[in-house]
Amino acid sequence: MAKVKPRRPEMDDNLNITSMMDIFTIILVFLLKSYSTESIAVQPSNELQLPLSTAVTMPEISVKVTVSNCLEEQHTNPAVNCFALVVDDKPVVDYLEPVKYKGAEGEEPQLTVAFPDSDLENQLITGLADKLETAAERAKKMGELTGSDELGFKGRVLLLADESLPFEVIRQVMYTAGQAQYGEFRFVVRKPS
Amino acid sequence: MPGKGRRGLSKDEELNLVPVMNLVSILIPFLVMASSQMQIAVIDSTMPAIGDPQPQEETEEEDEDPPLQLNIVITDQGFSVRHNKTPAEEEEAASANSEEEEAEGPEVPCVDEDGNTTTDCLGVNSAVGGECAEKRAKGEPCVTDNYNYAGLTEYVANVKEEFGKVCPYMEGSADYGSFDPCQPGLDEATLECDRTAIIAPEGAIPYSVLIRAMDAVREESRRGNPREPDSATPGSRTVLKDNDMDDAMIAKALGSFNPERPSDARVDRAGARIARKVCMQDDMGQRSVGNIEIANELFPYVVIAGGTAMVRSE
Repeated sequence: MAKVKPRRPEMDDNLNITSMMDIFTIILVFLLKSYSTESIAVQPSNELQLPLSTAVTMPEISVKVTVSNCLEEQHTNPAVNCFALVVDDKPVVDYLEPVKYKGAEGEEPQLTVAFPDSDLENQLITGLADKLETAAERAKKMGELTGSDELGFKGRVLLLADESLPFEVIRQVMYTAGQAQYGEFRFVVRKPS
Repeated sequence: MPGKGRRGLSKDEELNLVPVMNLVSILIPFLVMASSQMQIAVIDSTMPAIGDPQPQEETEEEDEDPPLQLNIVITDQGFSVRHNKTPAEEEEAASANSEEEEAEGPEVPCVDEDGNTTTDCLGVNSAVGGECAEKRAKGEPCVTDNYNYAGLTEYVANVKEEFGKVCPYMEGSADYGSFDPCQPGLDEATLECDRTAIIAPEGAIPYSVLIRAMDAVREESRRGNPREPDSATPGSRTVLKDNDMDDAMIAKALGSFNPERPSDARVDRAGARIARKVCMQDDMGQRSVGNIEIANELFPYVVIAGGTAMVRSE
């Protein structure tokens, strides 16, 4: 009896973590797998609230056009520092300006936002058109060189837009993309959690 | 000496996993945080037809049974839905509206609360319509995203059932039995069935309204209770309750029942799942026909039209 007692604690002083290690390895592999399959990452912010939708289609990688509800005060605020229009993480338009729209019947004016006139040329957002045209050229060249349809030009745009933006802003982006050979749109939405 | 070394080895035969453990336990919270980002999805849409007529009109102008064209205009007064298959008795009234006028938007603004001015008008939800109406009367701008989405789904489902051709891969179709989704060269996008809607929002409509309208016309999933059985008999109508619908909306849906129209006898079997044929490909490249259960599809493809250009006022 006296011999056994001191021995037991000696045996058990090393925690057996092998089984725990097994669990963690499985979790790690699982998480890494789900991490890599996420094709596009979205950083939510006050200026970019994606709309909620019941859609279930998974996004695929293509040119990413982000439109945020970013006014001048937010753009100049160093804590926020947002950009209104971003193509593949490159800013194109700095901020939107508040305007009053008049309805078709000339009824009540509505306060919304719009692209500044300096960025527009007959509804075409000039900076966006340039960026998308270069992207289209590059994608076509990629398709030619690799010979794969996956990398080639498909004319698809991922559109991330703030839910409070007026359709006029979205329409101008879509119109410009259409002029730059991008005719298919994928509206990126938030799934209800 | 060799004996001692051996003894030391045999004592250390268990690997020291503690540093590895540290590493893993740091990695796991990091990855959990990274993967618990927003769950995102995408909605497909095609090129907006800005000012241009739809291309298929040219070829099938003389067709006896042209494909269904569903136009949904979103205004600040609500949804205005039109389609090219008006029943005979309404034909005369609608004949005054030519295609061009349709593209420009609704001539008759939707009026909420005091009933729809036309059967093709879907007003905004009465509660918010009232609130906005007050503000607008004072000349103040009012932007809301509280539209009658359930009503839009309801309306569009009726149109699809009455005039639309169900795609052959859906259970409700007459060709469902003979349809082979794996036939070579099949492109589902070219099948002759009605599943495209045109949505034209006005310039000041918030983007979220467009997305929710697209959700509303895509499928019937958001209405009704799938757990309740179909209980409608011809000539009667039941509306299965949904969290989105309050009693007033149900009463309205029941009140709009028209015994002349056969489609009004339909049950809101919303939320029910029906079978859809798909072509499945296994790892060996072998293709086989499979069935999946999905919500009844209405108009999953949406074309966004430019709508009327807004006039800026200073």
